[in-house]
Amino acid sequence: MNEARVRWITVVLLTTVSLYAASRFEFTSSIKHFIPSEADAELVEISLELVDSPLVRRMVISVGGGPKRGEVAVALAKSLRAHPEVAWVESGFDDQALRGIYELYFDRRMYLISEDPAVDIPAMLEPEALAGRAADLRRRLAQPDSMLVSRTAPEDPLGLFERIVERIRAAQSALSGGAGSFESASGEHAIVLLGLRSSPFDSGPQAELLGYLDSEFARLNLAAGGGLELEMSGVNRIAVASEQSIRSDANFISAVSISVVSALFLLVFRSLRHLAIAILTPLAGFVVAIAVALSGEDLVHGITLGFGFVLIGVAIDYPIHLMNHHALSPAGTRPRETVRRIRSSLLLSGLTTTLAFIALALSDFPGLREMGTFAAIGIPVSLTITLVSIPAFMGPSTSPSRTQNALASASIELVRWLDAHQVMAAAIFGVYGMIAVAGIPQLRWEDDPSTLIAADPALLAESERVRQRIVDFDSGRFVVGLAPEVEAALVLNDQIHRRLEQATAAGHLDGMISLQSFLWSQALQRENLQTLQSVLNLGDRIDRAYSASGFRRNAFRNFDVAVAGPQAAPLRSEDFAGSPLERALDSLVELDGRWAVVTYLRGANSGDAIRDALAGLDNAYYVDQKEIVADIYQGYRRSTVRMIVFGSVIVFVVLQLRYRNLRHGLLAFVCAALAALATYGVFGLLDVPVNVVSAISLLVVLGMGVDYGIFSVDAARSPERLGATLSSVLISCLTSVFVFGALALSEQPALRAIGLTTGIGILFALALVPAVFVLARRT
Amino acid sequence: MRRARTGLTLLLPILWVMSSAWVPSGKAANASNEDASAPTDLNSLMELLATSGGVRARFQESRHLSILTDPIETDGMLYFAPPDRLARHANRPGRSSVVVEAGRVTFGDETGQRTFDLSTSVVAQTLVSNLMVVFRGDLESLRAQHSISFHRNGGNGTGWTLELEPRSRIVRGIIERVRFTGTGRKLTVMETHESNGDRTILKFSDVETGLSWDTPKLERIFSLDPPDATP
Repeated sequence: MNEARVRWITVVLLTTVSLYAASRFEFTSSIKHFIPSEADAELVEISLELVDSPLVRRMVISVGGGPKRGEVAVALAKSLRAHPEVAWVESGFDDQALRGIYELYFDRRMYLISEDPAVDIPAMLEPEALAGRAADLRRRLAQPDSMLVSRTAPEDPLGLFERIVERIRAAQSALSGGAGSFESASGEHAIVLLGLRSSPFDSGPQAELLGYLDSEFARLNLAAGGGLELEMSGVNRIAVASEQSIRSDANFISAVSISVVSALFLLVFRSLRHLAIAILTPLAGFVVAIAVALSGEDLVHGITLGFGFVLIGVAIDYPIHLMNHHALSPAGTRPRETVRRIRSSLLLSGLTTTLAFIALALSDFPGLREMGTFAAIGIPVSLTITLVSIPAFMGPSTSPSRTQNALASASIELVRWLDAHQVMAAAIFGVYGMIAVAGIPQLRWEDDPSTLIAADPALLAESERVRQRIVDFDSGRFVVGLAPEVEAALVLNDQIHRRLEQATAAGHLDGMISLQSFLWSQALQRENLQTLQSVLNLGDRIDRAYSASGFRRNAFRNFDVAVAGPQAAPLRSEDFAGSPLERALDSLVELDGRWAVVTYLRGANSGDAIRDALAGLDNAYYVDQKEIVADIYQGYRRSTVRMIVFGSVIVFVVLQLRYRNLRHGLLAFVCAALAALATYGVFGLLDVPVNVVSAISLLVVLGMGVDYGIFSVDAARSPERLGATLSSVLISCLTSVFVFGALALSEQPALRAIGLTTGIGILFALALVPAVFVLARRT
Repeated sequence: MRRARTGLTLLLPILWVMSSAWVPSGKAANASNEDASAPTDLNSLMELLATSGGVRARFQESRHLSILTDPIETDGMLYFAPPDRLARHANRPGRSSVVVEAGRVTFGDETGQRTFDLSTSVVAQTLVSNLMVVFRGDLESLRAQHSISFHRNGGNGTGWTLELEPRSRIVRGIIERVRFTGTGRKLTVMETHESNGDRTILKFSDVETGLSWDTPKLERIFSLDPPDATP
């Protein structure tokens, strides 16, 4: 095939793949991507399910700063109801909502008296208790707000409905207040609660909604005379901001990477054409890898895209080697001849790097698996382009640039000096070993996955301010009861609530947000009714006690009738559909054919105390998502380290098979292994925390370090290539370090960890190259 | 920390305010002058009421409830400052206060206090705004909310009766009708008839009209820390 045809095929193929990738380009910033998918523990499953539950799919909107806050909040709520991304909006109870609550509960008031009916109901009907209640009712009727009490009292002399209303009120996260909106506890902010249709991590619709929200508020604020302040709390805000940060980082990193690499190319090759040819290689790897990633149904994570730019640093090594070797070849050498000479080195380095990333692709983390797959596709593609396509864009060799000559000469001089001072070459290995031995025991592991993705501190502070304006639960900590059916789950929840009430009374909890405030099990409801019905002469008892406080005899006979034959069946979850309290059922979740009732906690400072409170209750669990996920990450971090060791053994075996010489295989390998160990040694000595991403990044160090080892050992076996090889390694190393250095500047901790680990590791590997060459040549 | 009540209890103070709806009358000291201004029809009555200005009066309320053998008696002081401030401070049987100001209602007694906005309830908003409309003599708005009948009492006398029947079905479900009885500019009795047969009779005495208060005094009157409950 002639070179022109190769060029055309390459360009057409890459253009097609690029267009395909661009047409499907979309990414996510969900933390779920960094949670293992194969978690088999029940609590982990529950925890993962609830990461994206309706309870998380919500926003709290606060409007403050002036007397018109309530009106603006109500108008904003009305406007938001029409938005396609908004599932529901609650801004306060209107007449219709109040009527809905009345219709839901009033005829069922005798089902929902007490969680311990056998004790409480007889106590409630003791003559002294009834006399107290009668006096209280009389006092209430004398108050200005007596009109409704007087209307419900004949049918509810014991105030059962009022008790239910009080329970509901206590369970609300926001309080009814100004201008038909909820208001903050201080009364200074109007509150709107909003439910999302999509996942809060689905940045497309969330960004659109947040933009709409801001513009609508600006419009309404202006119409109200201005001066009002909008603040919000919601996972979607953090997710969208994180995505914008990732996008901004990706743009910055790519700009820096491309600029630095371009400058380096111009300095070394003094040719823009060489630059364009060289960039084609990592670009091809990146485009093909991203096209494959986008061809699936899952969204690609933003961190993966950032990691994808790492490919520029890794994959550009191949054309650098090719072009540098070609430039330093005798004049007139054809490109494919140069390829033939270094093909085996490039293939071996590509193979070992790909093997290292395949190990990453086997990770249980979707995010890490994605990175591994991304690189494991991108590297071979880049290598193929280097070996097949790039020569078609190059002409016969001419004279090398002054920089190339200078680098080659300096490399040779350095090797000569080391050759004369072989103790120094051995000493470098010793220094690396000492750094590793001294630092690694002091390594500090950071296993909290939330630290992998940066959130804007200002947004977090705003979110916390808004949350404090309402009665909100502790995020990520809850108690869950699991049962095969709804009724069984509610029975369990009855018990959980009783235990947690005791824990609250004992000071282990500040409070809870429980379904129990709205719905009890049918069994408990029937027990209430039966206990009340079993009271002998209930009507007479009430008459006797109440007549002493000035109530007419038989004034409450309707209550007697209602107890004997209730107008409604016990309350069921289905009864909430379409009611103003429909959202309360969000805490009743179906999980893989089972039903979970979730109780959110406030002020749960001791997980052990909550676990103790639940002791003996089967299928009732205290869940601390942060604790659970940290445990998982710790496990996977350890597993990742084991995987790296396993990958290293494979690479070592491959090197032994290639060289069939223990010393050469060992030297090619030790360059990478010592660089990786010394990198972690430095982190330990400098107290830089390391995480699972740092561990994974060691694979990059291993992969590239082995490349350098291979080039060094191959150069030792073909000394005429020494200058070209060492200068190529230096150029490619500098390229990689600048690329990874840019990653280390990222605001995203995960990218920063990759940048620091790989940047330092590759520098360490580079410093070993001359020593490896000298020691390899001795054989 | 102040906590607003939620749920049905929110409606209660509003409903009370409605039940205690009161139209100011002239002060007894200048009654002869005012009594001479006998309203001949609804328009002239509203014109009279619109000139009432700031009002202070003693009230005695009797609540006749079907479940009680005897009525509940309450007394205290009532204040109105145009255009939209109303305060009721009761002394007996227990101390309690209700203040309506700028669309917000605050209720307080020995059990605590609670505040809410009238716009949380269409019913409450309608009822209280109607009361303000009467104070302002805004006949057009009053007609929008009620069917109104006006009667002159007793031949050439200055007595009159104003009956309001809510147009809203929701409001009618609670309040059947409200009857005001007065002489000239002087309102003497207001009767609220509830749809369940209960009724409330509010009698006024020691009425002073045309009052104006300075800002510190206004703030004190329309607060839960009222001035001396006796005028």
